[in-house]
Amino acid sequence: MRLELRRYKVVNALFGSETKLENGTLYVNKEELVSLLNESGFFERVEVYIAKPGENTRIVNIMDAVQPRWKTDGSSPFPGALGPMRIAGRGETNALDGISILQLGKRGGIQEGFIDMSGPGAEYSFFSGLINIALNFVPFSGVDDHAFDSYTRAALLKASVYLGRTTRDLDPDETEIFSIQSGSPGLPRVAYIYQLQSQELYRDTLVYGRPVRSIMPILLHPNEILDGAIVSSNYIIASQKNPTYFHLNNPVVRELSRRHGRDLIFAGVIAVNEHSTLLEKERSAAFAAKLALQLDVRGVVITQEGGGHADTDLMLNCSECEKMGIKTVIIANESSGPQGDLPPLVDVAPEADAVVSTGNNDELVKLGVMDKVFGCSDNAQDEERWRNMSESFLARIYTSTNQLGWNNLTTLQF
Amino acid sequence: MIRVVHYINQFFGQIGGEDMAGIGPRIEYKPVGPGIALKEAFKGKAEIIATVICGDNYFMENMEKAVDEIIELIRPLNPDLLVAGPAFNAGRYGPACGALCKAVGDRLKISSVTGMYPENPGVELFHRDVYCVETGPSAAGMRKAVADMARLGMKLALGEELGPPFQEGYLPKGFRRNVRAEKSGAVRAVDMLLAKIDGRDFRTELPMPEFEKIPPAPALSDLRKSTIALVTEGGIVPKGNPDRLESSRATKYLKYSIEGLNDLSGEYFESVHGGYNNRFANLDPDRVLPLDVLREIEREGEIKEIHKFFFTTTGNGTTIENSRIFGKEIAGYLRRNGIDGVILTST
Repeated sequence: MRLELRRYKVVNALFGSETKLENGTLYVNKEELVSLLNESGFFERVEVYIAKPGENTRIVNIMDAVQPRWKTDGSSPFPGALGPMRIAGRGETNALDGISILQLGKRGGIQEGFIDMSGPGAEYSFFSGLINIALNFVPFSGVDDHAFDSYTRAALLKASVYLGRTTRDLDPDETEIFSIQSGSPGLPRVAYIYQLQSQELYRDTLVYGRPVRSIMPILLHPNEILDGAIVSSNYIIASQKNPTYFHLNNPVVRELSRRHGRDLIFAGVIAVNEHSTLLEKERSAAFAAKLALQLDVRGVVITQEGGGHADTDLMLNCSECEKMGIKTVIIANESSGPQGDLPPLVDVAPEADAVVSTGNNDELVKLGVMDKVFGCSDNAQDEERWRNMSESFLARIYTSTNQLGWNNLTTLQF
Repeated sequence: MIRVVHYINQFFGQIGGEDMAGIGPRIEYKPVGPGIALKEAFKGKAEIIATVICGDNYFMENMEKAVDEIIELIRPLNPDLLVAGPAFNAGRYGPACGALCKAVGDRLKISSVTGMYPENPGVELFHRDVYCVETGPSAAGMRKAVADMARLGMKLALGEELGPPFQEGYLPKGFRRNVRAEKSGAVRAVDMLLAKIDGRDFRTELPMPEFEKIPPAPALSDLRKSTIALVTEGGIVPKGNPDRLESSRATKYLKYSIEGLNDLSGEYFESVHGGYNNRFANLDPDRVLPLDVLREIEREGEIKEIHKFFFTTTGNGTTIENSRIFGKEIAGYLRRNGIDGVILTST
């Protein structure tokens, strides 16, 4: 399976009369974009903002983030989630770098998070360094939660394709080839156990458009992940969620692919769900370890989304693998309390002797007061509160302690 | 020049051994015993203006008094730094050094450093409060211990930024702080995995926290003669939450009467727990605190009786320290009131 990721660097974005990419500047026809996203008339309105690094802007009520993408054969870059099913991971895919599209919305059950475009809070979110096209979806009152979820997600993915399409006649700035076809037999075989969180509405992750709430572990090719097989529908604690943007550019998959054939053989990705009951967790972990054994690997990296009882999945996946003689490394963040003196995880295993920490959610961070707030236009009082917020727990800063290992934040014991 | 007061026990103060362990604090205005090596280690950047010597037994048997007396000896000297020990693995000397370092910080606002072997009981008691250099178990490690304490002590006295414990040589105080690594988490994970596969050294960034193992109590011998109490961390309180139990990170537990009640109705009770969807618990609080079925069992004589009060708190994000205190106090009450068994529900 061979994937060609053609990358285009975006350095500026402006509203304009024609949507196009020209010399690194993305022009967006706002009216055309809004009418596409609200074709169904489901939303009372769709607001579109552009937020750039360094601006005095706070973006709030963030549900998901995605990268503009385009398949050169015209098929959907999110098969099954947008458009018909096909296996992802082959052919040519165009991706816009330096820019993201944010899905904003307010509903009960969606945990609010924010991104600061400047000030001390901007040091914690990857998205603070990107140009963000923020889409605020305001539904008519009384709409059903399931409908809100599916309409907003579909609109986000459509926006990705709409902006990604601007690359269709352009040469990329850089091309990356992903293939794990060949590799020296002497190198250690390694797999990746990719914990997805899919439990209920607003707590879902989709593989080819299907929530994985009840799956047994499945084997994926790394290219499938880099090419849109996984889409988020998970609106949990902001710091520790894996947005679609990160699934598409999963840093563990990228690093294992990059070192394939040089330091290791990347044998595949075992996608597992973080189930809600102990029996399901145990069944899933035992089966994931069995798949790793069948792949004949010597080691696995394990990542999670969320926390709390997902820590149990981490520990079970770790100990089941270690019991079979497969070495493990876990990536996890911590809830060690504001002082960092409380137990960082809610579950432990003696086998978990190699853990990468991506930071403590509970640390308090000072913030700058902002001029503008995007994503809260319906409530002036809330908007004012967001604008003046001068400190926050890291937990609310979007993707700040991401557990795919996106950032370089970590903790040290003092 | 950094002005240093050095604290040592009667043995290192060259006064005597066990027979002299009862002596009270005294002061000498010069380096004594390990102070000679400490003075050398300061390399002229700090001077020992006084040495306080106290017997280990005197200190441990009158801790508050001994601390007060020593503080009053130190106060007029107005030093920049207290160096205590090193105490190595000495079981009374270590806690004395820890207590004194903590006291001069709290009361005189001066920096301090001590040195102990990690298994010294003084470490467990004071590692959160004081900087303690890791030493060997005995005075054979004196030279290195004193050099490490001098280096760290001077940094502390000058208010310099300290690196992490494994760089600076002190025992972790137990505070995990966010810092930046050179590489992303994903790259560090792949590096760590390859090191682990190859059998090379690697350092976990998150040592597993240790949870205390609580053995379950033996089964009750005769339920028919047993009084049973209900305890929950599920946040069940009288409707309106009159005593303001927190929905997470609880700082208290509460005790409410269930005398004469056969059933917990959602009209009078509710859950304020912030860690689960309360809808079902609020429709019928018996789902969290099962009074209704327990009353049936009581009527049928399967148990002697249900205790007239229940205890409640919120377990969501509540600290282990608080949980331990709640548990001890609740268990103490239950024991004093002749309760034989508890149904403890969690959510």
